[in-house]
Amino acid sequence: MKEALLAIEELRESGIVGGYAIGGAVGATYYLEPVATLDVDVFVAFEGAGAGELVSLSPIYRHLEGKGFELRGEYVVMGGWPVQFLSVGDALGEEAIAEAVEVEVEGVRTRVMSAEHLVALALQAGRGKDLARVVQFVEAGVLDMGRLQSILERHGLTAAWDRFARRFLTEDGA
Amino acid sequence: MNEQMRQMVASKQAERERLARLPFAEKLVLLGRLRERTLAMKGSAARGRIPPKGGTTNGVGARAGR
Repeated sequence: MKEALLAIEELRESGIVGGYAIGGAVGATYYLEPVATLDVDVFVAFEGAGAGELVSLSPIYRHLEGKGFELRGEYVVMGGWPVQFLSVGDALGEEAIAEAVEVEVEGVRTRVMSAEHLVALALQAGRGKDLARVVQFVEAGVLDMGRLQSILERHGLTAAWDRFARRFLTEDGA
Repeated sequence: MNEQMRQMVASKQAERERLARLPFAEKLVLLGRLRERTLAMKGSAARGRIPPKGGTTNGVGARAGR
């Protein structure tokens, strides 16, 4: 994984991407117990590209292929891990990248989405496995509920949260 | 919930909390192991699930059929 994190950080340092943040199950694992996953989701933003604007990920693939990494479908295999790059499509994704937490893993600097943004994105995706992850975050007690509420309001996800809470949260909090 | 079940739930919760407190680097190592196991299970499930013509579902025939 260290090799993957180094290559991802280098994309930012060399200006190929404007910013990035690790999301999905690997991002969630920063806050929770390890969550089984087969790949790494890296959300990327490009300088000058607006939210929702169609952008090409080709510069990333070209750069990493040039570094000797194997391309496999929409994945780049780095350090044994298939890494998927996802261009952010809306203001929530942009904010998740801008407000990502900087962490260090074995001397390598990397960026992980905040717990609250991971939850907001999971609510937005709304699949069973996403909602199960939101339950895990609530049960683990790692969320700043005030911050989450403000993110949900900013990005029109309050109704999604209310539906989720009615369905999954019991009187004792989770 | 009986006492035995309550103890089991409590011990699972304690283990989850212990794992959650590990440094991120250690969690990433565990993620790698989980991934290898998941892939191994997927592979063996696929071998057992799709028997080739005249093959068996124990994996041997399936591999030979591909």
